[in-house]
Amino acid sequence: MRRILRRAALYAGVLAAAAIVAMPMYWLVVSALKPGDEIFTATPRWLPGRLAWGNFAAAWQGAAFGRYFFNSICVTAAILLLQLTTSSLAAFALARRRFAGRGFILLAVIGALIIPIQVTFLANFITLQHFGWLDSYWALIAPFAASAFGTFLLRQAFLAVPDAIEDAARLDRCTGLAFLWHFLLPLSRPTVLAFALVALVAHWNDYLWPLIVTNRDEIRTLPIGLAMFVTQEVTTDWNLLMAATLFVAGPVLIVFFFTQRYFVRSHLHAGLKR
Amino acid sequence: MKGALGASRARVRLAPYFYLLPALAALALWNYYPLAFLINLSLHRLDAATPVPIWVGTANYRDLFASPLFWRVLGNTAIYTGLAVPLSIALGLALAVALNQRLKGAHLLRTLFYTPVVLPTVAAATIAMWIFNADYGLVNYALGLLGRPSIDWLTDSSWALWTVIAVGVWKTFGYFMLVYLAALQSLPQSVLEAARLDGARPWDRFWSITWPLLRPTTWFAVVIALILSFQAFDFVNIMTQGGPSNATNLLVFYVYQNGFQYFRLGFAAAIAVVMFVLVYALSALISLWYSR
Amino acid sequence: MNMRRMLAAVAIAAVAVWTGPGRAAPVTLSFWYPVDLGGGLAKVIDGMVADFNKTHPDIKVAAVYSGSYDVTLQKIQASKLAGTLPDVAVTEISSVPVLAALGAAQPLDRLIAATGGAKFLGKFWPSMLLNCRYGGKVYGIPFQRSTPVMYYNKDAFVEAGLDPEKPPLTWAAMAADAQKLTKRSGNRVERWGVELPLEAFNWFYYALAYSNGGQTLSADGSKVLWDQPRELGALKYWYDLVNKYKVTPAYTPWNDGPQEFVAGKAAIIWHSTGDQGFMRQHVKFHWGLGRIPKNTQFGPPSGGGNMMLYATDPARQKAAWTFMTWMSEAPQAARWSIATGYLATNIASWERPEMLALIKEHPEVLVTKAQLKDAKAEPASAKYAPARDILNAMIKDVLANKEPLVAGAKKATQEANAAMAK
Repeated sequence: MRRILRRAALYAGVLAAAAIVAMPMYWLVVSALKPGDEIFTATPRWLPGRLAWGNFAAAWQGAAFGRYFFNSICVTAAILLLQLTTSSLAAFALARRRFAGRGFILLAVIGALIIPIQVTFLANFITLQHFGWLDSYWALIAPFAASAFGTFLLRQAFLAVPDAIEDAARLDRCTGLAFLWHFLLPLSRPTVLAFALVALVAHWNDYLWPLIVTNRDEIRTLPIGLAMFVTQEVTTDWNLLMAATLFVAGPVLIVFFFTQRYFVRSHLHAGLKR
Repeated sequence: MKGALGASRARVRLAPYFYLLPALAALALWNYYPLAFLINLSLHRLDAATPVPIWVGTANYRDLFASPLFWRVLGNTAIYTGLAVPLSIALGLALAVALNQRLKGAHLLRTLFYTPVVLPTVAAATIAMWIFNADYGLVNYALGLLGRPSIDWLTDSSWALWTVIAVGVWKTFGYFMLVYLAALQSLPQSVLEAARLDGARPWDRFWSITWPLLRPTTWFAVVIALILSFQAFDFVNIMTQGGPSNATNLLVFYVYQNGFQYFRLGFAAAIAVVMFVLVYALSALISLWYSR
Repeated sequence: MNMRRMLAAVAIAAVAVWTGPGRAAPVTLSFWYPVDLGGGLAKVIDGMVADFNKTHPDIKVAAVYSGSYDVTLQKIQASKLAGTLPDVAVTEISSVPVLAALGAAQPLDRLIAATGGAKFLGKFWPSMLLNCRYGGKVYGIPFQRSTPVMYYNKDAFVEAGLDPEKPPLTWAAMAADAQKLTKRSGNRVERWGVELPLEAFNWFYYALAYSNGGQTLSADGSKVLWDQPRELGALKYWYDLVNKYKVTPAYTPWNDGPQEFVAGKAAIIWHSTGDQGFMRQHVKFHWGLGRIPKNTQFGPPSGGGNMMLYATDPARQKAAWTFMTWMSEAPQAARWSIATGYLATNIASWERPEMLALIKEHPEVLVTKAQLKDAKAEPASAKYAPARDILNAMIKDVLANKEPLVAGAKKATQEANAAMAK
């Protein structure tokens, strides 16, 4: 009986939080489907009077979204691959190896996390210019080759793997990078995934950096298309902005929806047994 | 024979440095070089009227510490950090624990809670502005239904900071939910199982077993949340531009404002350096406290 | 046939190799534009640039969307430090002194002299040239320019017993009309009589100060004058609208104004002429345009963006100048104005058939034209930006009764003058 009550309380709490989080999302979707004259009404309108699917077509044509989509996928994939490689290597050393200067290096990694883009971008812009990388894919990818966040996060996960596993692996002559690849990474799958998702979101949505370092539609990314709908001097077409938002945010949500089942225990066990 | 052994031992000893090399090289180039660049810039005067940098020593820092606005901004940032960090972490942890139970529809809920993180900030800020709009926003509409007077959420200087904090927490708690979910999944099941068999109540079980096991994750989450809170820029820039009357002017916006709106690059660099030192010191303090 | 084609191709290639890239290749120019107007208009710019490239085979302009006015400035600033400036860019008019002082934007006087001098400048509305100079030199060519204008709800006027064809022309008339137009139910305001949305540039403060004969900034740009009688009078009028007549909220965010007008929550709003397109699309009642009312004189402040030159190489400068002048010719100015709602900068473009057709369909456009002869400069100097924010904070505090009017204005004046002296 108590168990049922507890269960009910849990559901109630979670659903209340869900309602608060869902409300803005609902508003986003509904606004993307409203015709222009239903956006501004004296009292909030919960449902569109008629569904304006045309908003999506109009938003899509507002910028070179097809090209941007392709670029976003390439750039984000390259960044993810680079960051996963550099971060897992560095985290491996920091978590499982003893060497001179480890503490200092760890502090340096945490320090790198602290420096926000508003602060780094002038110097990095000039560096890119020295390399001749401005206005190229390199400008979008190279500055994000390493991730202090990823290194830090993966180090935490690698620390949690018991030493006994490493000893056992050593007996199987599975050491060094092989141990990282066959044991540490699979055992830390939820964390690897958590990091990949966070990095995916950050780079998929970044618009300031691509806007500043690129000058061509051929290499520009999705959020620049989105930025084109936001205005300063005059009023924005909100329904188009929301429609564009849906197709910018949509792919990431779909990726999350399909990967998040790996956060569930049974899969982890499968990983352990292998 | 001996030589080969020595070489292999050296390789083992040097291996960690090779593993670290790519990450450290990139961080040095793209994160630390800019910091050095900034420190150097902060000792110069470079602005619209001085297009060629002039060495001024610590003048920018003296100006900064003498500016009442700087202290106001620092106060705002302290409030923002003091609230956003615990709130987003507590919310993230609570939902991670709840969703770690075998709830029906948990996968849908996980996606839902993660959606604000995924939304492009421009869109998130735009929706937040609608919802908190004084005249036709949903929040005031709800207050109206309850018979309460409207509140100027974003345009009254006594409310704006709270609103920005609320939106910031809404946008970031999903990160921490994810990080905690990942951590909960890697906890040693045997220990949890043993406690369950002992008949410990869930609440006690959480505080006596799960929470201590999550300690490294919490440390991590606090440091990340702290850093994120100091980088809260987009919402301020889009929703309030630091206003009304500097009520929501936070350090990173203050850097941006001076550097890119006022073209006072030397001065902005000084703020950025102070900000870096501050966040670094706070992170170090938290780390010390955790490693006690 | 095939053989001949191949020979021709080889010949062309040979000529290309022989003459080298310098002579055969057209000059490629980069043009950065912040179209602060939603996605569709980027297409209009692209179309205009394509037409230019078609008619000027020796020049190839690449148009680059550069974000909002703010991000464009950031991009230019970074490019200045890295030495990768564009050839031409559009920025907000108050950035003229900043970018000129920084040595990024280039003076145009020599090029103008070679293109007819005063006669060339005479093609533009004189008021639009006010925000184009710095240190006695011309740096900007007007491009996407605007002034504030009054949008009013004719149906609400009729309902309140006012003549829908006679929007208020004076401060006193606006205050009186707004009182009739304000609708309350209990404590709740259902419709504000008037709204003066406030943005970062404090446009409507300048509008009020100018229409009271004030200046707000000394002629040399070194001192703000917010504590002077005419400026104080302007703030007092705004304060009275909020606190005495209670016909306007203490603070309306810039972007909210048009939405509230469309939703019928404000009977009159002041906003940018650039919003006409939005209003035509969204407003479902009868509406009209009125001039920004006067107290002692008419004087709407200028706004919007100018084109500026950044190229330093003479050959590029010449090509860039060809592009800038082409964009400001009557047909292009009219085309841009019709597509955006920005004001046509070239006087002759108002006589073009497509413009006359627009006026026939939307006669209220003439109000925006009538205001042009009274328009004044937006305050600007190389170091004005911090003052702008101090003023913004002061206005909000005074209107919300968080700061007494005269003392608040005095304090802000001192702060701003100190910040600009640094």
